[in-house]
Amino acid sequence: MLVWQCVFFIGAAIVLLLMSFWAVRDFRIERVYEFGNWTDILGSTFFWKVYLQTMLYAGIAAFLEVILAFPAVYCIAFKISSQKRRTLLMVLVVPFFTSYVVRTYAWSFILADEGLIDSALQFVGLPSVPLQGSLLAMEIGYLTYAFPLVALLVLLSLMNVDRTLIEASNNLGAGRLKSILHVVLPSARIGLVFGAAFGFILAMGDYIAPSTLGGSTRLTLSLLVIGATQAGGDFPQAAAIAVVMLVTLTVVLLLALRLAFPVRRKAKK
Amino acid sequence: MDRVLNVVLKSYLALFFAFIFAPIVVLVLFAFNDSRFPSLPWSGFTLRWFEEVLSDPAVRDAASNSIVVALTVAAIATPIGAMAAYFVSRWDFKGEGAYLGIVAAPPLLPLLVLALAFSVFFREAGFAASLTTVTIAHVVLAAPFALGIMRMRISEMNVDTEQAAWNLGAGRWRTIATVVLPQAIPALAAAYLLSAAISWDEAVIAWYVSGMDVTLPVHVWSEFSAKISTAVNAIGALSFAASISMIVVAEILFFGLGKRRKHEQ
Repeated sequence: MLVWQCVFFIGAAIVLLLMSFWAVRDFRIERVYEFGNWTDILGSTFFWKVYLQTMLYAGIAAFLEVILAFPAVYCIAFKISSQKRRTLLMVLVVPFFTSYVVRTYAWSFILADEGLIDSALQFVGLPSVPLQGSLLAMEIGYLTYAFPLVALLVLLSLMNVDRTLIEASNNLGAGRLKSILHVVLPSARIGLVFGAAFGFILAMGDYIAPSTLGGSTRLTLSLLVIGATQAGGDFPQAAAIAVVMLVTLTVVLLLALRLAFPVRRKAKK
Repeated sequence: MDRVLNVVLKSYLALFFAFIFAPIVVLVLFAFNDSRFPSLPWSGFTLRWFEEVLSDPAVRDAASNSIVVALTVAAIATPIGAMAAYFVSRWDFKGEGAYLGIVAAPPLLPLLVLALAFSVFFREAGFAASLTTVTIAHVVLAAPFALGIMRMRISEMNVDTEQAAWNLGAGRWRTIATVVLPQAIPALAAAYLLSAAISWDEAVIAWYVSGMDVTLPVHVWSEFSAKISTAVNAIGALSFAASISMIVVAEILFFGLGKRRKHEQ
């Protein structure tokens, strides 16, 4: 497996990195090493605007995912018998491995103008809400993508919270909210942080939600990558943007590690 | 107060699951709608979209491409993932963290970045875009999942029986074949199904490296970008049916048997 991954994965990553320095002249890629792509991208205010916008959309997605998943996952971890918990866990895993393209398609006809929600609203006589191409629709796409994974990460960490600690805190007279804030949340920190980090990464790299549910008007880095590869066949430019995404991802993961393990405690493998 | 809170939490949980499963349920439901578009009002029940889709040569080609790729990917990813898992679990060596870091990293990266990397890599390496390149790329993505499953399973297995086999004079390969493999078969089957499901559903990499040989998710993607139509619902419903059954069987193989073992102890 090491050989396979080294040849095809590391190999592909290296070619991507090298290509980010190549140039396109007369519609042909030349294998020269220059910084043209990099100065073009990093010097462009348009690029940075899209970059910040992507971070913002992905940040919203990560925040919503963790906040919205927490009560549900808390319920699975503490309010439900262990037999049912197993079943729910198994059910939660399933949608993660179903086609994301098809699920996005489903949302697109649910949210479209004259789509399910719109026509249901009209039927009841309410004014229609323009959902198609809205930011909300795009974030729903991101949530659809990442919810199962984020919920699973948070759930695993909540299931590891020491229940005797919660009882102790209740016995000492802490109210429910206080117990959650001071006992459950700190113990579940690792899951919450990594849940948010992966929610962020999935949204940052996703192309399908912004191009369909987002109506292609809200530009993200992934749309820029596709745009570069399709329109002019400018693969080097696309490669440079992809490398920027990889660097961002690494920074996010390092930050997450820092936040999840604040003291220099060794991560349990 | 407690009871009210419990009810609120459990209703929230139900809503949460409803949101996650909404696209799946609604899509399947409207695949049976007797109208060109999946929209309200409901126009009656029909199977004609399934008939139309199943007799569409483009869909059939895409589906058979996807099946071939998924089965091949699983047949490569499962053994290499299992070998890596056994290796990591049973031998302590320096650089284990780095080894896992390289081997298991691909699913952490955005699919689009992977797709672009594969597409430029295959082009530079002189591989023509085809089902072969899709298969190679999907193995990179799926093998880490096979590794994860096999690692969980191997960590539950008793090392003593392996050592007993060694003491009784069985060599390394004989021990693996007669002691380790029989215990690992359900997990191997689960890893096979999971890798197949990952490849079956993957669209972005396949879109970049498949060339003219379109797989089913790529076909759905191009249909869906062009228009919304109930025929796409039917394809989606069939695709869901395939992946959901693969995952559920994999889960039963993996968790179901694991539970029975615990009862025996």
